[in-house]
Amino acid sequence: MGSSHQKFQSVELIYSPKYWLGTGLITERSPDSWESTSIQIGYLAKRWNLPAAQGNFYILAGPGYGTRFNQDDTKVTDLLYRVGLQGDYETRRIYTFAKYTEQRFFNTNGLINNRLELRAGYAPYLAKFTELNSWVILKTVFTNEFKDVNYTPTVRLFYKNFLVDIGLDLDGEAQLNFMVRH
Amino acid sequence: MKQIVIILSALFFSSFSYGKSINNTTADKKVEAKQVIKKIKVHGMACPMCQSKAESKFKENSAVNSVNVDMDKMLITLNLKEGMDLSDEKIKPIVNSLGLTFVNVEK
Repeated sequence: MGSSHQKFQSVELIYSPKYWLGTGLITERSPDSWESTSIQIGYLAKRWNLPAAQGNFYILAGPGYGTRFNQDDTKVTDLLYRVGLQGDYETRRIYTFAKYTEQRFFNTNGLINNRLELRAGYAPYLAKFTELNSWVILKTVFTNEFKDVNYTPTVRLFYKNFLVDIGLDLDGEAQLNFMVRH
Repeated sequence: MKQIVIILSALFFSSFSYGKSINNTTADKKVEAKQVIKKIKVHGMACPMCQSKAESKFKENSAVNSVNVDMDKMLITLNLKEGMDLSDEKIKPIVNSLGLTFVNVEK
């Protein structure tokens, strides 16, 4: 999976041997602010299977290595840990998602970055796996780096194992998210 | 001549009767070996990806001929191969391995 925005880019390679476990490698960067590469272990702590809906709650954690660029042109590079919580609830029509992640240096416990992403989406029509699925999603991001909250209206298209999110935030910056499932 | 006619008649009727019995036997076999259909009710199938995973997982089973997933009714329908069956006890762990909740197999 890859995500690209002027203020935030990430590439994730996740392998899920079981539906309740995802392991992988994540590289993230916020230009001129920080960059990191970390191992992620995602554990599905709770799943709610309802007659026409599903809810999930994940715990995310893993070690990594990263750099924080300070405002006085110095930088700190060290081992870090990345922890987070993620939840979602979806029906075939409604999609909601929340994810909080935080990265800190091991030694100093200094904060590198925290990020809360909320998404709410709606499917205008129902489609099968072999048809083009479309969603209209509003993504909202809070981080420690920017005072302003970032809102990105997004169109999600997925067909079989391919998913693409195309968004344009309220500052006019494009956001692209691409995912392939095997 | 009369004997020949009697013999030919006997042969004709016996072959007709034999053919009929063959047809009956074949029909019986078809009844015995008819395809079993399992309709599995599940909960939690909220996205098309679940549909794809369910189809792939059940197709891996040697007893399954074809799979149809109806997301509106939350039903996974299995057409089993002739003479094959799949018990509820074997279906339940397959559904659970998909992260879905097994409800029942509709009778």
